[in-house]
Amino acid sequence: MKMANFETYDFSDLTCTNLMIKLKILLKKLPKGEKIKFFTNREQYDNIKKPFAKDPYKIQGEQVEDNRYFVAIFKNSKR
Amino acid sequence: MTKNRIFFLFFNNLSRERLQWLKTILNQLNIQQKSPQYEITFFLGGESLYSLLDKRTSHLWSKMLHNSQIKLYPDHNELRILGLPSDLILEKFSDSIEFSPKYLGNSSSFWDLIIENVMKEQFDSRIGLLQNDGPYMHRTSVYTVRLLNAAINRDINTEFYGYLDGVHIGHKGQKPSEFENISQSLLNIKHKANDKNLEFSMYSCSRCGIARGYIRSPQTKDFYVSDDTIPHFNFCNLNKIIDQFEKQHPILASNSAIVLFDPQKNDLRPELTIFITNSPYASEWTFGGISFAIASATHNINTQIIFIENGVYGLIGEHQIGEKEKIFNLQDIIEATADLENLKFFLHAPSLEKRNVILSKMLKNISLINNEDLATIVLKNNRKGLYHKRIIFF
Repeated sequence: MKMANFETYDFSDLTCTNLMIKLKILLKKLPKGEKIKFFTNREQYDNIKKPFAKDPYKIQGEQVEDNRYFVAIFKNSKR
Repeated sequence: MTKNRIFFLFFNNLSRERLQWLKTILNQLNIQQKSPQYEITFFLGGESLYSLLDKRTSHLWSKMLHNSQIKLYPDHNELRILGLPSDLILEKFSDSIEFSPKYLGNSSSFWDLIIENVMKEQFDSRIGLLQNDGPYMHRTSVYTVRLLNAAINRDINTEFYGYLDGVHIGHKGQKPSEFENISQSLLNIKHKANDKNLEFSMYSCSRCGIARGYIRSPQTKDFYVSDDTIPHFNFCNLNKIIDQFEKQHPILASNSAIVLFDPQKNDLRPELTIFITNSPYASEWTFGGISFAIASATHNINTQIIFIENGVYGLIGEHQIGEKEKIFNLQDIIEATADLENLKFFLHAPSLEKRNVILSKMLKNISLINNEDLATIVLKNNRKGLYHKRIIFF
């Protein structure tokens, strides 16, 4: 896992299941109201869109290159 | 009267501990009654055959096999290879071990028998084989080849799933001086399937392939063949393998079981139980099993992870693992994934007691279970419309 800058991870090397595990662990430790930001590839983004669209999470993704997405997952502060 | 059927397949060492809990949970099925609802069949090959003779385990078999609802088929050919006296075993378990003349006469018919039994009354003329061990170091690769062959011989479409070291089975250029060439055997099966107009698909986990150096550049296709493997040996995301687990066909592994409920239905995805039987970090078994289970649960397959035998060592104390160690912290994974809708974690209390250890206070999402609970979770039908449960030992 590489850090693209101070607080943005690059997860594009991780397999889909490992990315799911990694995100679950990071989000579990993330304070409410905060977000995590990272880069993924298309397949990874397609895989995480649905599981992290449900409360207490909100996911936003933006295609930045051919097979590269910038993704942010927010942890709801109300729960 | 039709019955629920359970098939166990064991190729590795069967410990006294495993046989003890198996015996106890099978007792929970009330198979001693006048109208038992279950029919149980054990297929034993490889090292598991020693358990029939070993003083520490043979009495457990004697007790189990006393019940007419439990049948056992040993791999007769393997008994001969291992120098195990068939006559002694026959004498000991004469009423319950199947040594029919047809079976004794043909060295390959153990594999035919497995396919014949497991494929009876199936929806789909298809079977899947999950291989977690590499070739040569483990003879399970030979057994997998035998099963694949037996399935193709019976005109059954066949799928091979390579996981963990199982991906090595397709490495090209294998040239063992003494042993059966496993990759060549796979190619022979592929040719035979083609000749018979049958499907024989090989899918291997890309995570395992990348880790072992088979895939060295990013891939954009769903399925791809490595320069280092035989033709038709496809690497793919684990999710593509799990896609196959959504279907109803039987899937076997070296140490596995299948539970089929009567009446036959085809509407719910088969449940998956993963037994974690190894300590957490010495090998890839535990992470591999958990990763497989998480992928399964995210495909809306009801999935149970049961920590049992040495698997309970993963749940004691507090694992303190830094980034530098490059290991997924098992306990973090459990706590973080406990909210997955289709995933449940269980811990086998008798295994804890045997090892004189206790469950970590850090772990809030594990349910402690006894053997009675284990029988209910793994072997009984708790959901309307469910036909099929799969069990894999990691």
